[in-house]
Amino acid sequence: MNSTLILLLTFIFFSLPALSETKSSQYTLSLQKGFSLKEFERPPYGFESSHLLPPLITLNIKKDVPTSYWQVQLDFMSVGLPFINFDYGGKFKLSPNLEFTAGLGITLNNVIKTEPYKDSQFSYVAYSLFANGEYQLGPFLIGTNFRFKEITETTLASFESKTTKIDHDSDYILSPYILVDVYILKLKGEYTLYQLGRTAIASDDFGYGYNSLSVGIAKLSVGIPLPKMTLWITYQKLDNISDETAFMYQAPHFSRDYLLAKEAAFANLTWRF
Amino acid sequence: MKKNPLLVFILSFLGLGCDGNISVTETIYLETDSYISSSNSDNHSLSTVLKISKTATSEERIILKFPTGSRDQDTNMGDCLTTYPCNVFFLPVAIVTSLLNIVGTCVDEIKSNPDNLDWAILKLNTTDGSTPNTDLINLDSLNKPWWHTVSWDYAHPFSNEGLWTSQGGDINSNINLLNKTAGMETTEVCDSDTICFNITDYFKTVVTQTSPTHYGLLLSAADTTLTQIPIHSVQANTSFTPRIVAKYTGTCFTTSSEKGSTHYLGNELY
Repeated sequence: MNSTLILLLTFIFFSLPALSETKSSQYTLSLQKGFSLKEFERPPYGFESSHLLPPLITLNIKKDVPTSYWQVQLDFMSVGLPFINFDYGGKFKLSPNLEFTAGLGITLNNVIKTEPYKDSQFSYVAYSLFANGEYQLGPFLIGTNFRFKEITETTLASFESKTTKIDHDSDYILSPYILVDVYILKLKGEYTLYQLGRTAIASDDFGYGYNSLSVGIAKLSVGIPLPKMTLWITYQKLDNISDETAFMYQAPHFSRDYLLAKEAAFANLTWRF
Repeated sequence: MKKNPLLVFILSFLGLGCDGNISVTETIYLETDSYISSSNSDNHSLSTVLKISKTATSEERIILKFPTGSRDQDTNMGDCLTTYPCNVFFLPVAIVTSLLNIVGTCVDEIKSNPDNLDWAILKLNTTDGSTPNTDLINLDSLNKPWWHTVSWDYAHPFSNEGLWTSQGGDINSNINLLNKTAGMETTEVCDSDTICFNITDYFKTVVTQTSPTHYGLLLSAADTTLTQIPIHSVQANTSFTPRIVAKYTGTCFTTSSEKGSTHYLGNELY
């Protein structure tokens, strides 16, 4: 277990008691299962198609207080080990209808030490800054997420005493969305635009570069209220990608963003308590 | 006229006297190689033996690249993150520079005159002691960067651009690597278990270019059939490693003790 993970868990451990003292706090626990509807045609070197499916199970726990929130998300893959995401942010109520959130996030995709994830483009640590604004306009909740993401350099392989690594420039992710109640159902539409930074693969005697790339994901979700819970069914579709093989290296955002399925569906059970 | 000792000293210091030829023979060991097979897509980069053959149903080809000298992973990474498309696979001018630095005062002369390169030979050693005729083998320059997992179909696995346009390796037909044996010294002829390719003209071309691109070499059967030739690879880690032996002679101004000396540098350049 690396030092970053230890720091993260330590932070969570000390944050929990303090946050739980706030009476108006609220937890959200969600369990999600992902399904791939349309996979990429050719997996990257060393991987099989089954390795690139959305996480089998995602566990997310979130705690809101009036001025801040944190959330931890574990993405369990087919090999059983989780990818870990953590966000911590402050909340600001600018008007009765307008709320603003900003904070820091970390994604630990290097927790898995199992082949083929180990020493691959999917084994990285990502640091992010995020901001969210939401405005309640009648029955509509209109909002947008923005995330700036920095991904660490990662070893891809080592052959003939030459180590090959992959590195990325910063990514910018913008996700406008709209949420509305229709009778008992909740409907949510979202379009996430990724501006993926330049990416390079290099060793002592090899170099290959990818130009920056814009790609979008459209999401449509339906929320069905259940006793104390909400069941969300989400369908998402990735824009057409001209070079899918290159995309596997330029967009290894395997957890949290679920880029690596051209079409996917998710069933998400959310319980607030 | 009587020589003025002070004038002789000054002229020598300025490089205007005591000129002479310096010959330097360098052996450059290759660091990256593999072979590709039309019937097997395995990664052969770690094999100790390279294979070249051709039958009616299958073919094996050898793929090599020159070492890149002082370029390192960080430099290449930086180039590829800032420049698109990046093109870091240069022929190692650093190797030439390293050689010239040893000669010291010959740097400028040799750099400016590719004729100072007497000859350059690509040497490969067979593992079975055979000495195949080089006419049986084509030596071509590749026109695409390739990675260790190179196969019959792919130069590298990182994008669709990694697909060979022609299965078995894309060749740059504008580069003529071979000039047979012209210019080779008889004292440098191949041993009995060695295959030698004279690449002198190619090397001379490279020396005159500021950033020559070199993606590697492809060795394939010249005829419709070729009995398998096993060759020591880089992984053999012996003096039989695929290598380039090059000799430079430059007229330069230097100390008399260096005149005519021959340096066998091995792979100590890095």
